[in-house]
Amino acid sequence: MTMSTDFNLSTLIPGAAPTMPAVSAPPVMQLENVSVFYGNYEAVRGTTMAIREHQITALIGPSGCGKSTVLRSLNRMNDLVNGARVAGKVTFHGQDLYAADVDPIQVRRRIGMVFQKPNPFPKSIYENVAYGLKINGIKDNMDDRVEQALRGAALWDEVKGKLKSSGLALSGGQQQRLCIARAIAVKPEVILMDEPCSALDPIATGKIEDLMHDLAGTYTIVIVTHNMQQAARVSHHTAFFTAELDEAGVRHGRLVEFNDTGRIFTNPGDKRTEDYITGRFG
Amino acid sequence: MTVVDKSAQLTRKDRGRHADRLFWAVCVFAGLAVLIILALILVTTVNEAFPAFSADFFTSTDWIPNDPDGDGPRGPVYGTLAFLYGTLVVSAIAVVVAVPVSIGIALFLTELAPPKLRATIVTLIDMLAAVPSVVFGLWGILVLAPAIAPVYQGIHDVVGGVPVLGSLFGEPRSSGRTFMTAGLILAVMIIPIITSISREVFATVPDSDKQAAWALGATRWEMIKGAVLPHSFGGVVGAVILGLGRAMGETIAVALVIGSSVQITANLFESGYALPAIIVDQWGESTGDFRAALIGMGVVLFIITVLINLLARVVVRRAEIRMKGASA
Amino acid sequence: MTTTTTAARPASSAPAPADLRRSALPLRRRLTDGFAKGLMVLALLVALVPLGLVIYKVIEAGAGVMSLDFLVDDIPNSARRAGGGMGPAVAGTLIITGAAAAMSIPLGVLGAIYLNEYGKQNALARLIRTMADVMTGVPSVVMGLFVYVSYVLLVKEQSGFAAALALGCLMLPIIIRSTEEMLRLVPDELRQASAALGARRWKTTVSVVLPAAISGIVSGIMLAIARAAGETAPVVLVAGTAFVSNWSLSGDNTTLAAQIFKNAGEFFPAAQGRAWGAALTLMAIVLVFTVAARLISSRFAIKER
Repeated sequence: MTMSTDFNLSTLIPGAAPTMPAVSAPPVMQLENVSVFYGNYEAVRGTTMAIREHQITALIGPSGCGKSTVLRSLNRMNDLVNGARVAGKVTFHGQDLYAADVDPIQVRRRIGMVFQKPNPFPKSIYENVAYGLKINGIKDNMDDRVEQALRGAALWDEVKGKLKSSGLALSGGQQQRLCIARAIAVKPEVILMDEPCSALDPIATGKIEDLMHDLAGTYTIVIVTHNMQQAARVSHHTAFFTAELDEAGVRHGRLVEFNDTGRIFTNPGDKRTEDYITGRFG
Repeated sequence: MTVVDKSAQLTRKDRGRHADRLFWAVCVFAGLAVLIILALILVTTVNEAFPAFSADFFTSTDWIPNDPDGDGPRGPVYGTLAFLYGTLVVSAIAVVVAVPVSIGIALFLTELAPPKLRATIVTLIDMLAAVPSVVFGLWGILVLAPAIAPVYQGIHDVVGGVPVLGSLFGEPRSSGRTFMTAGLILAVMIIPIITSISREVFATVPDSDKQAAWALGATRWEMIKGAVLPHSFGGVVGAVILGLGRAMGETIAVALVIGSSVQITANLFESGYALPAIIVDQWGESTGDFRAALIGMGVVLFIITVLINLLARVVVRRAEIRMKGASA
Repeated sequence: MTTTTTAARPASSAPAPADLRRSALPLRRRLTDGFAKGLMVLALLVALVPLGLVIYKVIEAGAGVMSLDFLVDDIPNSARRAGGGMGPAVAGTLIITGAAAAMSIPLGVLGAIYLNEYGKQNALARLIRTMADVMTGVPSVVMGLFVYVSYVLLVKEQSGFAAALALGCLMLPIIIRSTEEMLRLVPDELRQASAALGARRWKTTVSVVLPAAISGIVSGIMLAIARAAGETAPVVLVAGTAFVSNWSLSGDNTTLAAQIFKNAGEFFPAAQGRAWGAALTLMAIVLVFTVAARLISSRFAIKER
């Protein structure tokens, strides 16, 4: 991993100047030749990449390219889909996440997730944040922990007076930050974000992006987005996926290029990446 | 209108139009039949039962339909409290037993069972619903009641001395035909309906809520507790109320196993009676005011069950609105 | 589950790898989870055990008296006498349920057509829908009383027809609601296609919508019939009783369900035996209709694809 690239280089698209210098950091997770199947259909084939500690990794690509599928294979959310199966190896600190004796519940406790549509529980703001703590048997200093998580998600000042009111009464952007607070309350190492801003307006999106910068100091973040500017703004590393037909005419998602975000957006190594980033594709 | 010939073809032909109107009218009438029948039930039964509605009818626990000493001071008394009490007690037992079982089955089906097993279990539960109540009654009176009487004795021997339990589980009837037996049979009979509605309710829980719980590292039970149950509370309450309505109106099985004793007692191991049961039991031997009193109990039963069903619908509707509001 | 996963750690400054095994989950959480799952399975057994016991007993005790003669012979007019059969009850069940179906099916289907094709969400349709649901909850004994006071008292005769009226009233709301569900599944494109060809509404409904939904409708009707065949209380109240077969709708009649009820309370083994035999016969009838309903609706499902 190189140190920061020179960002004065003209970028391929305006408004997408990469701002997060990639730094060398040890990998927290590694994907080795990971393929995901739904039944007999291979949705994504042969993905190899590393998720580096305290960095933000963006997965981008046209719809249907399998970026969300890959994201969900990182904390075994795919287990919940009937017939879903992962081949290859996903490791977390060197441990194979799909080993026979690994419990997906333990995995998800350490690798949290934020979803596309804000999905707070139909409970109070406080209860939403406390839920993960309670199921993990943490009962002491509950108020402090809830406050910390809400502060961590930059939501505390907006909700401190109404912790007992429903999480569903908040605006979309606040709901999404509540979901982030809920995720970080259990102190995961990695947070997976599946297009976390796609349901939000630009102002709310800006707040979440700022928040991601702050969170990167403590957590490792993997974000799926189809907004290239967003990937360029927030991430250190970018993986570009695309969907391609194989010899038999079946569509598979696959990883085209994985590199520092600066490189991907200023000097992509693959023609397909360049086409996509400059809008000539999908 | 212009006088061009073509436009004449676009005006409706009278015959076709009449056929449409007629068909509409027939359909509306068919739909109205529901309202007409319900209204007729209320009007005709109340009218026929009217002579029986005295103060005694609603307040007395005495049921002496045949004046024992001719025309003496003790005229016939048609007090229905004992039957109302019995109906409430057996329905309560049925609900208490059936609700946890039904919710357990519904959760098993929606959240736990592998898809292949699911269809089989649904078929079995449907079969449970298809067994006619009189068959449950037959089994209850000839098989269950004699077999369960010693169990009641055993329970009574253990808890007979405990203050509250001792009076609930008192000295049992040796026949085994008791409030408890009727309640248990009823429970089995209302399990299918509570299960199927609960299942529908659980199926409406948004996947996003479940995923949120999973992503926090919840176990299956924690996911159910955190995401499924809070969302389903209103709907399940509606299902329970509907089940209660069914239990209160169920006639034949209860008539066979409740033991036919007109009495109000806290002892669930005693024989009792219920509103629908007395109607079918004594119908054949009743005339005049006696028969009017039986019909009057039918009116009470009708009004109670209609109210319960309306309540259940309101509860379910409100739960639906709340869920939609939440996801919007 | 016993392979060790203390895999070689990569060169990393990360904290010691977390133990991701199930066994590392706090015992309390694992126990609660297992306990809850166990309770769910237990709940299923609690419901299925009585079902199994009832079916077993009906077959075991019913088979003892079952024969062709049992299905056609007259009912002994003394409960203690052995022999005889349930012929009149079989006849009564068929004719009364049949008449109830003949009355309630057209009314129910037309009512459903009103709800789904005309009324839709207007106030009257919503009221009818709610009331149909309420009507499904009306106890069968009340329906028997209703037919007694509004029909039997007028014509001064208990009869199979009176029982059929009561059973028909019980079937009506079930048929309306299940038929409406099926009509709702018919795609609007079919109606529009027919309308675009110049068909009138009634023609579209009868020639396009109903045929498209027919399997589902028939399946719902079968289930309603199965249910009505087992109803007891209305028959006891308004049909009187019969010891010889009465294949007409007038005059006293009886059904299997009514005979089960009557004989179940008798002390005589002969009567109890006849009750079990009647129960087996009734269960067989119910099963035939239920299975037919399933077969028809599954064929429908395949056609849809």
